[in-house]
Amino acid sequence: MTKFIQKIQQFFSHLFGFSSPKDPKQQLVQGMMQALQMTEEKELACEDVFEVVDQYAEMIIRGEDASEIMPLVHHHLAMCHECKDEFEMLLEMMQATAELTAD
Amino acid sequence: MAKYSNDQWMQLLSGEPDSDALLELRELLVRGLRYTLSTRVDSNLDALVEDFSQEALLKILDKIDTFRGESQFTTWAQKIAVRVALTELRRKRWKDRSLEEITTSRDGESQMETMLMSDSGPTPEDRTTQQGMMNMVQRFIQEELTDRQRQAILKVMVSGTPMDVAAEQLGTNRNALYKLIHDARVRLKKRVIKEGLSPQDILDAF
Repeated sequence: MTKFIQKIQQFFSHLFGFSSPKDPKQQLVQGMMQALQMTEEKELACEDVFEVVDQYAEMIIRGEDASEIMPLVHHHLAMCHECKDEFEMLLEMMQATAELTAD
Repeated sequence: MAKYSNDQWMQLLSGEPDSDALLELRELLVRGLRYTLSTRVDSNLDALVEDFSQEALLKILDKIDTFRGESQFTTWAQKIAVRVALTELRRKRWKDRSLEEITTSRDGESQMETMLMSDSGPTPEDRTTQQGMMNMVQRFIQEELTDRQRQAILKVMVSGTPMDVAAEQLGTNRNALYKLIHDARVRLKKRVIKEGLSPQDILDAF
């Protein structure tokens, strides 16, 4: 799971790495091509993912292969910085409150 | 802390909410937000946790009829709290950027806007050089995308504007903005392929 998150983080820090001193045109073209590599004709939008991200997070917590069961959600989380952040924070929150409320 | 079933949460919070259940839910949100925000904010943690918990509680109660029981109620409630907190934090951070960040972002956007929104006329397109590849992609962007798609890309990919903020600036919402940019990506990818290239071929030039 950590590796999965790190992989996504690395991708997005590269894709949206605006602190780089590169020429903006080069930055845009490279960022765009990286995004195109992962672009699929059918993708879920943010609200589609929001609808099911709680189920997706519970699968991860149970140790199930959520990316296999919900591949479109997995793909969206790799494409959308905001949804990925929300998913990661939800996982942290679930883990933190599970510990705090354990019998 | 009491551990209610989904049905119990629904019964206790629907209509006139049970005050004990409301307190339990609030405590769950406060604990979770305090833990997760402690690594995400530098100051005003307590005030932010209070504000976000309160706003999330109102949203949860407002949307409770839409809960379908496909996850634990507490997970469903937490995802709403996360959405509330991160949306607000992104807006606040964008608003509080330093003058240097604002200037850099505006300069980049303005520079790229001139390039993407106007017809720059014939430019050399040598597929073996970085500059040639960039000119070619610039032409694809000019020819394939609508003005609105170019504006969206400028905001999100050049200025680094958060999606929620960019959506507000463009008079839309985050969901529609994602779809707009997705459509732009699909169009560009088709064009790249139609030209006998792949995105990797273009990346290889850099």
